[in-house]
Amino acid sequence: MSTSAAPLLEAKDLVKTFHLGGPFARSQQEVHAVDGVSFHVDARETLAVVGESGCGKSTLGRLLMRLIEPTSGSIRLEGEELTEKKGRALLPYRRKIQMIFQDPYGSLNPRMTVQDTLADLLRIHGIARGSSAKQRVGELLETVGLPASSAKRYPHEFSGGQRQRIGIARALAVNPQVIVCDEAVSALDVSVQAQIVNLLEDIQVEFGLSYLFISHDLTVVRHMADRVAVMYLGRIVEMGEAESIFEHPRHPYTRALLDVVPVPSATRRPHRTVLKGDIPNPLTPPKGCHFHPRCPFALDRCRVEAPKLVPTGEGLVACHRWQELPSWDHATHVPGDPGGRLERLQARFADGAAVRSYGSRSG
Amino acid sequence: MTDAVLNSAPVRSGSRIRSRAVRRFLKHRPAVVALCILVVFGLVAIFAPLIAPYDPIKSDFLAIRQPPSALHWMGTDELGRDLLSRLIYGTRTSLMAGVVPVALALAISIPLGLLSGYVGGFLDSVLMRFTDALLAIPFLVLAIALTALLGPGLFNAMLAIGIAAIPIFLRLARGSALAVSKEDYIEAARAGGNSPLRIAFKHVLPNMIPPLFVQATLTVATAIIVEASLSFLGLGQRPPAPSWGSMLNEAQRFLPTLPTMALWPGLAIFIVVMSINIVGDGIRDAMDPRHKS
Repeated sequence: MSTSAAPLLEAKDLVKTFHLGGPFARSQQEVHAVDGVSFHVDARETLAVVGESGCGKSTLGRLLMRLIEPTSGSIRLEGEELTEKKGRALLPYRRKIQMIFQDPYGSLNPRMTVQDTLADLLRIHGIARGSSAKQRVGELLETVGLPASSAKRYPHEFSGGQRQRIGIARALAVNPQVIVCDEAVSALDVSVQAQIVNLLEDIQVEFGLSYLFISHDLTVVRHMADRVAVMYLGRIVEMGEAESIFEHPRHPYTRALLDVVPVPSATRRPHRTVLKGDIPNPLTPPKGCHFHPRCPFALDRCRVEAPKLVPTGEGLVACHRWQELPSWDHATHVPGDPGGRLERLQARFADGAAVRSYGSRSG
Repeated sequence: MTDAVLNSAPVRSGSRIRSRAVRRFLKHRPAVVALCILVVFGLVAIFAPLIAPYDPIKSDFLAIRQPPSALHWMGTDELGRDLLSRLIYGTRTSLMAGVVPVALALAISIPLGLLSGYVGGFLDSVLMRFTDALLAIPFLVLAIALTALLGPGLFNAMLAIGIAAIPIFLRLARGSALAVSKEDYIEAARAGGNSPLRIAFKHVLPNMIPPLFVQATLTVATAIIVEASLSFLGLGQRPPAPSWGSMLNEAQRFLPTLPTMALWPGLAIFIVVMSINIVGDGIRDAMDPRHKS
């Protein structure tokens, strides 16, 4: 963990509790959507937040954007506490942190042209007005790979991928330092997904952006992330460098998530842990470790005592038994082929099409 | 005509959107025809004294219940009054009785509905329980009760119809505002730093209007009919001044012997209501940029 300088964005013990039932409801029920989450994002870094739907990752994104009020905890941007700021005082902060939304169809006002949507932002933040705003909108659109002339058009005249590009242009309009990508590519076709991922990577380099990349798609996360935080029922259960999370996952939940990622290989991962049951009702989360009802390694202690995030040397994990668990590598790799060359070769020849493409490429 | 509209495209975005909407509306043939019809009715209402061949309230006991003739194009009623003249003067009353209450209901429901749906909270609960209570009473009964309270007369009748229509519009406006406030683009606008007031007026309001528009065109028709019912009960336009509704009610008794007496006001109501609905559709489509023109 970096301790030298203050991180760009830092969340500490962030809690968001939703109350169900109106003011006249007989029983007050609470959902701990985000339950004591702490993390930081450094400059030019991508932190991915992964987990099943309902684990609180989108709530986390909305908390950081100050779209909803946290129940407790702190959010700091460049060392400045933001949970106390409200209304107009938030404006300079909104200029530094922006968001790309999941649904490219719902996130653009259907009655405003692209020009209006983008110029509005520029005006609100006092960046540009009139003809200079027009020029800036054109530049923004070209940055995201759309012709400047598309500014005159309405959202419905664009495809899903193009709309997401407009959403990205909107996020870039105020020159932010951090962009929260809430499932930014999940709603798109796979081919379009790849284009948008590439665009996100390009602009990250070009503008020196940091991403908080919220996603359930581990393939995309592996491609994008520098670090990964795995969430389960409102808590982070494992966090670390992407490489170590994907190669040596410690938490049984992380392992289960990785086990269901399809791997184009003939021999890799013959042992799969497929999770039984659904994510528990967040109204009545299991006592102790939230994951214990679905965990193949659960003990009595797991049912009583909630594990804390502890350093493993490579990252952080919240599991009582992380040191005792069998090594994931041994369980999943074919022994005697450390480089994995054999399996790559086998994978190629397992599929006729692969052989042809292999042949044509080498020839 | 289209060229003129295209060439006159102004620079400001607001007026550009409006000119686009006008162009889209002009392409909607039935709506343009219906609008022309409404304009004609409007002119008839304004210039009634110049057009009407007879005094609408002067009885002529030598010409009672006459069928259409060269002297009385639409015939006469049971007091010998010229039906054409009464229809022409009745246009004033009936158009007003249709439009004024709806305008009143919209003017109150849109801001309150926006507040209730977008801000929510305690105010929302109070307003909605209030509308629930009023919606439990049928529209006509509520209008009658209110007129009885306010006293008879055309103005009070319009006021009563407008107030009776508020719960319907308020419910719709609130639901529409609520649905729009849950859209991602509202969240995006907040993330972009728009003030709540700006979000309400620039983002929620334009997107919540279309269903209200449809309801408004339908309610204009209902209001004309309700005014007729109130007139029949002696609570609306006071006799002998004509309105289409009161003419219909008077004609009721003579339906077997003189059906034309009911035909004219009925036809007038039908044409106006139909035209308003078509124009309403046209405007709604024209305002929606998603609609293929």
